Amino acid sequence: MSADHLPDKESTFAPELLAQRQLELLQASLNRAHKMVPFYRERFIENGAAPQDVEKLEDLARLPFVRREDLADHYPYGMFAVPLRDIVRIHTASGAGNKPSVTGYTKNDLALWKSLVGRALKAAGINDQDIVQIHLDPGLANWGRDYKDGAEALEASVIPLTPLSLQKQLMVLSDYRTTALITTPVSAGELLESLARLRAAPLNLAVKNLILVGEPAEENLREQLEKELSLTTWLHWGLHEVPGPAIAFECEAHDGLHVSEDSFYLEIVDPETGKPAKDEGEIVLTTLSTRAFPLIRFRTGDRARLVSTPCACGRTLRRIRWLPGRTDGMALIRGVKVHPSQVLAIVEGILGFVPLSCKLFTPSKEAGQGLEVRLGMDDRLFSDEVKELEKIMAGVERGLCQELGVPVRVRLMEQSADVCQNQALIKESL
Amino acid sequence: MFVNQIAVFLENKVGRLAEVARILADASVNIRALSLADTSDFGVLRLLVDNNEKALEALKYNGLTVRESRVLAVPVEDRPGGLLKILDMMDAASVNIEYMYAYANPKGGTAIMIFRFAPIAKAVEVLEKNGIAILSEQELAAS
Ligand SMILES: [Zn+2]
Repeated sequence: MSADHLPDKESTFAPELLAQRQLELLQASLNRAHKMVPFYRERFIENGAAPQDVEKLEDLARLPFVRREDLADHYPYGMFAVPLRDIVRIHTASGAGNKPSVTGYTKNDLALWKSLVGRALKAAGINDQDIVQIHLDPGLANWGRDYKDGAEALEASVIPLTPLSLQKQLMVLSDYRTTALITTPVSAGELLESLARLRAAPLNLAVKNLILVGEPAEENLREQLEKELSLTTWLHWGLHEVPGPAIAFECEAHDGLHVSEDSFYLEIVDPETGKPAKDEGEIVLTTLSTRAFPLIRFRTGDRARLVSTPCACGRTLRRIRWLPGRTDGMALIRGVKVHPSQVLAIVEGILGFVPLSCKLFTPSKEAGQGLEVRLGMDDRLFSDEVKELEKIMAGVERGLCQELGVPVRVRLMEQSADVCQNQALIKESL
Repeated sequence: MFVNQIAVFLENKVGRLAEVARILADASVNIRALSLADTSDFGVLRLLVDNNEKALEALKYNGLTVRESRVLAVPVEDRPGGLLKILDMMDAASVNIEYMYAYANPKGGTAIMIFRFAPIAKAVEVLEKNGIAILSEQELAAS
């Protein structure tokens, strides 16, 4: 174990000390939320609870959950707990309806995120010797900034997120001697495929560490990446809303992801009952340190299982195993969360009406694929001219692509007799 | 003077064209001309039939999306340059030809072309000014 991997003091607190810290931070955060955010104040009143009633961490379970819909309902600034003059950065992420989630950071919040992301990168052995390249879809641009800040905090040289073609990314990766790459599992798979096609003149890559973000990476993809590129992969879990990447990160033991519990209170709940899950369940997070945008019992929609054995690395932060699939109706498209109702709202905005049928499909394993939208033909869309139909397809594709930040393919389908209504579901494409 | 054409939206997969032919045959509708414009995903089938009302009803009943649109049926001299004459005429008047296709004319002598012009009113004006006939539905049916 090199000194680079050594955990910071806060990561190794004895459980009682960590719990004590968490409770103090939680009480302060609840007080601020109660005082500054009407939404939370009303929630407290509705549940006959006051911030001072939370005397131990378990008492938090008496408060209701916050969902993505709540964030959309309070667009844009309704969930902010500080005056706008104290906000130094505003982020927008895709939401659960036609309104995005807007979050803010104070100066201190930015510093906090910088240190949290820095901590996660440090656990992957990244230091001031590294050249860090960030390659994410436009839909993850916020994370691109956070990762840049985090890597800069470690004084690494950062090649920030730039919209480049895969070929250009590869060129930069090779020519700039990148040592650490931050990307999604899908993009990593695409890079690997492109490299395989370059067998005639193989690129000599210097990448030692590959940070995988945005979606749970399949074990066989990780093995393939590690073997074929002679590097180590590290999985990070984070949120678009809280907002930040790398809330949970892998250490050198690669046995689950440590949650930065000094800044978040973690619950794993049964998505049906909302009670603590026995085994696996939905990740529910409460922010402890962020000032501008406190979240109290936020239902993330992500699934995980707690790893209860102590970790070999010495960190006492609890670990989760991130599981595929979601507990909400959202789909992960190349690491970007997409809600069907949001897609329908955008399509309606472009067409000027709600199409009779609009079915959504997640990408197949084929590289480069994003969301597939199948519009059922109807009288309002139809034209006897192919070029008019192609214009509609291109317009919807462009609009969705811009809003969602992932590639979108629109297909026109015959209206089938059995399905004549919108399906607010995203299915795996066949 | 306009001829009403039926356009049908079809997914580009095996058997769809035959399906339309079957639906129309079952409804005793006779197809007089057709043209299929297709892309990798879908196609637009344009039809001239002997009974639009029956055809539309049968196609809609079978869940297909259809649309009627106005086209012009124009006799074209059946010799080199016959079509070019019309095209040049429209070009000079800045009328677009969105698409065109041939109509079977067993009598010979002239070919009949079906044109989708934009704007259609201007196209009519140009044809009339140049003394070129535009066939009505009845004339087309009788040809
Ligand atoms: Zn560990």
